[in-house]
Order: sequence, then structure tokens, then C-alpha cells
Amino acid sequence: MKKNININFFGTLYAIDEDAYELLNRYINDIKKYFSGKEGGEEISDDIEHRIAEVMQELKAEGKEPISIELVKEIIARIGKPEELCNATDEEEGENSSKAHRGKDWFTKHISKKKLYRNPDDKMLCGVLSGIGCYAGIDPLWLRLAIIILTIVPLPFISVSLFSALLVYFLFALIIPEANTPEERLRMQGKPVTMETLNEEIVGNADGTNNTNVKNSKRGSLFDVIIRICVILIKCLLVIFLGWLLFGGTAILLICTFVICLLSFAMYGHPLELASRMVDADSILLNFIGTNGYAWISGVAFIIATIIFIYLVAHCIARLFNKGKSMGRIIWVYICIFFGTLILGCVSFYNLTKDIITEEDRIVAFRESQRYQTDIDREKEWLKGHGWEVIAHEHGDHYVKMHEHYSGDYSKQYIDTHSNNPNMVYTLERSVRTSPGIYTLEAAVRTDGAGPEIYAYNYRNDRLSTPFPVYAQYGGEIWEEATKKMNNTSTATDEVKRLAEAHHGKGYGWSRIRIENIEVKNDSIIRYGVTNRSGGTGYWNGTWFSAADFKLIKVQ
Amino acid sequence: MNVDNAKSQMRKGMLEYCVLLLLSKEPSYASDIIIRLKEAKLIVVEGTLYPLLTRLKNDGLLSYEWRESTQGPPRKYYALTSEGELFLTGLDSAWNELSTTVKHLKTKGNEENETSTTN
Repeated sequence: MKKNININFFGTLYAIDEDAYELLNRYINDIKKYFSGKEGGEEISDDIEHRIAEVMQELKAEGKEPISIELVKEIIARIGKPEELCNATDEEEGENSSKAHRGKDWFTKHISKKKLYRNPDDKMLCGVLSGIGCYAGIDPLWLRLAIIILTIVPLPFISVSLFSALLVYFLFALIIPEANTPEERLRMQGKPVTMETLNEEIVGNADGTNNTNVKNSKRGSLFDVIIRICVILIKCLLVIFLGWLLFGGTAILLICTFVICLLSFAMYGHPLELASRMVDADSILLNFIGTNGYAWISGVAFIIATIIFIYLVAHCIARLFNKGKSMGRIIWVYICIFFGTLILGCVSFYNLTKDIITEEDRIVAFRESQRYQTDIDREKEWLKGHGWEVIAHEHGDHYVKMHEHYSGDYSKQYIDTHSNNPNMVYTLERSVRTSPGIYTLEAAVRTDGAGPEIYAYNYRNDRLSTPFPVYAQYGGEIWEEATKKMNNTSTATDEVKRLAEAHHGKGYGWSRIRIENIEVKNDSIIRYGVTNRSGGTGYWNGTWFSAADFKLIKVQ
Repeated sequence: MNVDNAKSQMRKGMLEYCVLLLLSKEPSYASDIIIRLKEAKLIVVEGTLYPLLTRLKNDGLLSYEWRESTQGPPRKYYALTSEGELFLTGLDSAWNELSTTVKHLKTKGNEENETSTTN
């Protein structure tokens, strides 16, 4: 039984056997190829094609339809093989034999190179090993045995060997094309692709006689049965493996896509964050292109990668059951697109996360700026709580500070302000009810410029004051005293040690100053304060000052 | 083997001349020429003719025109150009020379043979 097809050849329909058609097609292609490089080659091959049509028309007129492979062979013999044709035109040729040799050379050079194909005639799964065997000239049986041993024999890293073998097989099945045409089969076997061999291959295949491999696989020995069982086992494993790959890979890719969507939504949903972006209008556009753009790119890339991944794995599974056609070279395009989109997705995702971090920073900065306002309130609250009244506060950026207390205690607050503006004024005052007597006011202070002083009023309303010594941010009398005490073991208490070690052992510039002989009489109220301006309105040439530990000591 | 080889070489040399000769009588298309050449056993495979025709055409010795055919696609009818005719006259004289030489050689050889046998 032979398959029979109809072809339209220069406007005439011919019934032709399939194998005959294949041979004829191949012949015409060879002619075209052969003449393609030569002067007027296209015209020549066109003329010859016309001639073939004419001969076929004769055959049709004689009623020799459908055209069999024998008739095609006759036509080829009559018209001549490509390498026979040119000799007549080549001016000086050598002997016939050398011409034939030249023709063969041309063939071996251009067409017949051994190529790696999957062998469809002798396959267990996809014909990968059979094809490799053909290529390397090894009986595929040995390769199969090797793979089975690799896969099944319990090695210490059994799962590794098992899955790597399966994975490699799966990749090969995907990448290596199947030898479907007689030409490909010849190349797979490394036979020269000439008219004769092609003929043999086609005729032989049609008759099913010269295919030794078919006989091979039909052997019914016990050994063969074992191999078949193993093949079924591997097939099952492969399906499970691919199934997991399909499931797991798809899940991972989808999760990535989902996370990206979620992230971009989350970033655009937060009201506080939205408000922060309103702070500078330029960044809205920038954010959209940056963050949202990356989210879009990586999202789309991951979706494409997912689709291609599903398609490839599904295709592979289908191929395991001999369904679906081999994709051939196009598979590389898919693989390239898959990895391309995957890389693009990952890079965009990375940029996205980077953006999210900066976005977070922005939120933090925004909260800081808000906190600043509330801190000022809290500072005033603290002053009020400690009985201080703000007499003047101009240009100074804050009221109270911590972190640089002379004791080294970061959490201790003290009066402090700072400004680069020379017009800064900061004056605090406190009224304390006490019993009559003579008092000494003591305070720890520091400054980076002359001007600041502590002051107090006695019962006659005289203003007594003591200026701050200028040490700026380092040293200070308190620290100096403490370091001196540290040299003597008897005075080196824990407290002294703390004082000496403040500011990494350099001191914060604090000194203790006093106003002595403050007389208090009947009204029993003592008023004292601190200001950065000598006499309350005088000179000031620093940028900041601090004060803490105000103490009234009753002397008499 | 050597005889066949020599024969095919001779035919090959003759082929161009014969094709031009055929076309000088009347314009004809490739298949007609093939039939005539096959009768004369000048070609073995038909395909040989086409490269030759194309070459002669490209050299300006031949020209062709398309003619509708009652059966199948239109055909190329080849004819000699004036240049081709000139070329053919040249070949004609060359051929005449050759054939006289061959004839002469043959008769001379025969005479010698005859004389040698009679002697």
C-alpha cells in the first residue's frame, strides 16, 4: 500500500506516489542548488524544470498515472543528475571519472555532513540516545544501559544523578530535531546525500527492508523486555518530573508576577506615602516612570516567561507521548525569549525593590519632618514642666536637646539651641519659692562663643551673672576635673569614670559655673535664668549654647 | 573504456556545432532539439542541452521568443542571431577543413595499407 498525493506542476495536476514525489522534489531542489551559483543558473534550472513537466505530461498522456518512484528514477536518468549536466558546457574537462569525483566532492562538501538528529525509527522515548548512538557510531543499546544505570543504580547522590539524567534527556529531546525526511535520515547516519543514496533511503524505507534498526527493536529477547520495562519506568519518572517542573515553575513564576503587582499596588495605595510624593511634584512623574515602569516591565516579562515556560514543558510532555510535531530550530527562539524575559523581569524587579527602599527612606524622612514639629511642642512642654519660662526665642532651631550631656548619658535632656544667625536670642527664666537666706546658683554649661551667662536676681533686684567659659564641643572643666581624678585611684569612682569617658574620652565641653551670695529676704522668691546674650541683650558671637543641672544651694 | 571516453569527448566537441546547425534551418524549442540530438546519439542525458543553450544565448549567438503551446506552458523557441550565423559559417569552414583532413588521412592511410599488403 502506498500513499498517493496530487501535485500541481506548471498548471497540470499529477497523481504521484508520496515517495516518488519526495524524490522528484529533492531532485529539482538539487538541480536548483547546483546551478544557483552559476551564470544564468536560474534560467537553466527553470528550463530543466519545464522539461521535467513535459516528460511528465508525456507519461500522463500514456496513462502512466499515478507516477511511481521507478518512473521518477527514469526521468532522472533521462534528464541527468546535476553533476552530469554541467560538463558539456565546461570548456576543458578531465576524464569522466574525475568529473564524477568532482560531483561527489561537491556533495560531500555541501550536503553530506553527519548531523545529530533524534532517530524516529529506533526509539524508546524520543530517540535521543539512538540518535546520539548513530552520531557517535555506538550501538544505542550501550547508551541506554548507561543511562539506566545512571538513573536507577542507588548512588549516594541518587536523586542528583536521577534528576540530572532526566533533565539532560529532557533538554536533548527538546533541542535535537527528529530526522523526519529521508535527507535528514541520511545525514543522521552520515551517509552522503546523493541521488542514489536518497533513492535507496526512500525506496528502502517504503519497503521496510533495509532498516536494520526496525529489526533490532523487534527482537523479543528477555533482555529487551527488561529494557522496555525500564523505559516505561523512566517514562513515568520523566512525566512526574516534568509535571513537577511544570507545576513548580509555573507557581514560582506566577508568585513572582503576583508579588510584583502587589508591591506596585501597595506602593501606590499608602496615603502617607502619597502625601510625601506630593511634597515635590517633580518626583511624581519620576516615580511613575521609575517605580511603576519597572513594575510594569517586570510584570509583563514574568507573564511572558510563564506562558513560554508552560508551553515548552507542555510541549515536552506531549512529545513524550509522541504527540505534537518537533519544533526544530524555533525552539531556540523560545528558549532565548524565555531567558531574556526572565532576566529582564529579574533586573526590573531588582530595580523595583531598590526603588522601594528609597521610597521607604522618603517615608521615614517625611515622618521625621512631621516629628520635628511635634518635638518642638514636646520640648516646650518639657521646659514648662521644669518651671522654665521662655522669655525670648528668636532664630534658634530648638529649645531642648539630648545626646551630649556631660555625664555621657544620651537620654538626659538639657537646655540648648543653635543657629547660624548672629541675631539669635534665647532666654529662659525660672522663679523658685524658697525660705529666706543666702544662696548659690550652680549650673553646668557650655558654648562655642562668648556671650552666654547665667543670671539671678537678689532681694534688691540686683542682676548677678556669671558668663560661660568657652570650650565648644570638647573638653570642659567638668571633664578636666574628672580626668585628673582618674589618675588617683582613690578618687576614680564609677561616676568620675563616666564623666571622663564622655564623648569617647574627649568631653563635651561642659563646665560648672556659679553665682554666689544671692540674698533672699521676706518675699522668699528667687528669680534666675540663662541667656546667650550678655546682660540679656548684649553681645553674642557663638552659634550654640547648652545649660543643665541648675541647682540652688542654701549657704546660710 | 578509453574508446567510450574518446567518443564522448568527440561528441562533446561536436555538440555546439550541431545545435547551431539545427537551429540554422528553423527556430525550434528545446525538446525538438533534444529529439533530433538523441536520434543522432549526440547526447545521453537531456539536461546537458540546457546549460549549453543558455551559454550560447548569453554569448549572443542565439535568441529566443516565447510561443504559446497547445499543450502545457508556453515554450522558448530558439533561433540563430546574425552573429550566430557568422559564427556558424566560421564553424562550417572549420568542420569542412577537419572532415577533409580526416578523409585525406583515412584515404592516405588506406592507400599505404593497401600498398603494404600488396607488397
